[in-house]
Amino acid sequence: MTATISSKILIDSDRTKSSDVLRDFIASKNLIGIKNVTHNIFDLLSLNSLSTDIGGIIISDHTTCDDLTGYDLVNAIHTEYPELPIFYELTDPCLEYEDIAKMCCAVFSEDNLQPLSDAIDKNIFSMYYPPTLIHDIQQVSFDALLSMNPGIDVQCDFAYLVKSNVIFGELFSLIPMECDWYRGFMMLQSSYGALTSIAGKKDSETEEDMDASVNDIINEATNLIWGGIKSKYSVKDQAADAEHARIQIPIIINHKKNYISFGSDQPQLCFKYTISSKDNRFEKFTIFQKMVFSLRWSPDDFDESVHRTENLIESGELELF
Amino acid sequence: MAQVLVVDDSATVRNEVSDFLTKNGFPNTTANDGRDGLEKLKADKDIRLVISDVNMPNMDGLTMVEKIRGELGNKSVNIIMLTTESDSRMKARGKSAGVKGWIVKPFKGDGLVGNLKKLVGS
Repeated sequence: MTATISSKILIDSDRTKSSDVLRDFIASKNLIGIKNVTHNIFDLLSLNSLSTDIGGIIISDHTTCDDLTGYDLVNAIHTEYPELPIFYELTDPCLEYEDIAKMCCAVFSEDNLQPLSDAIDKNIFSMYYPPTLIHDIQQVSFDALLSMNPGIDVQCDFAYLVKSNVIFGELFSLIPMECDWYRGFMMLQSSYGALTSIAGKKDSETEEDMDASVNDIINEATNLIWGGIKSKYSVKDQAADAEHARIQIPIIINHKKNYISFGSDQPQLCFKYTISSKDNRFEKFTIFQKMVFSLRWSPDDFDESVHRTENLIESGELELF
Repeated sequence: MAQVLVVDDSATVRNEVSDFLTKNGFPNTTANDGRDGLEKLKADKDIRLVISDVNMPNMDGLTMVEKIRGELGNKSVNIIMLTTESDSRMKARGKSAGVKGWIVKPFKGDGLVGNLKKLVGS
């Protein structure tokens, strides 16, 4: 497990020189560049695994897709994925780009990457997440998942930020997360088939029984992680918490367009856990954990909360009154 | 024979705790929320210990405890909360309602048998 935060950027450029410049830049910003040279952008973005996983897309005035280029291409991407930051590389200084710029987070050239750098900081790395917090979330979640079944292994990737509202997976849970310095939501996403295999269908079990088992697994995982994080960062000021608790905003779930909106355009803090069976009882599968602190985020208060929770009892121990 | 009642909305947890109790010689029964737990407790006079979750639909665990001590007037059954909650205010509410002990999930049975025997027997 590593406490650094990254984000994936889809780079659609077939220009070797630009790619080299961008590659160095991407590395310097702790981003992961996914270079696309052969696939249709819209086909790529429509893949669940990619569209829910990226922080933005870099295209250039060389990029062509479905006979679209320049303004038309940017407009098509922006219309389909309005939350996705588009960074536009201009190779021809004579091109007019004012209309394109309105739909992009940055228009830049390889000679001057500062606008790109600023736009990435503003649109992707816009919130500061203390490394200790990242580590703690991973550790609590890792322990919770592991505790659910002694026969599994859990692997956790690095934390990353995405700007996608698309719902990935057939099954997800949602729970409010709050203390006096953060308020938001946590979502766990997985697939029904994967959890069916870990639930281990018995011959006598009906489909309804299996639905209940699958729901129960993701529900209990959510509950354990939620409780673990809540225990770690308990509320220190009840009055302040009560004041902030008055603020609520609706969550939009749009089944027609397959997306969920937390009412904020802040990137989601994401973790990916790969669950595998020690004895090959089921195919390995992934659980995505997404967090959005859309109602309150004050990481300056983080350290104090950590110190406050040092004396908590260990999980599993009986504390007698 | 003295029974243990396990109250949790998660079948996974109910089964895990119930299996552990059975393996260690504690006859037990289960309920899937506070309301169900209250009914089971009313109906079975052999229940000596309740192990209950806090956050449950229909009726939460602490409300169930308050009703056990208040409406049912049952002061003798021992009650342990098994929950992801570790907030001190929540524990204080449980204590004042008559909760005997608190376990933070995940459930780890090892090391609990001695205390459970005392609570079932006392």
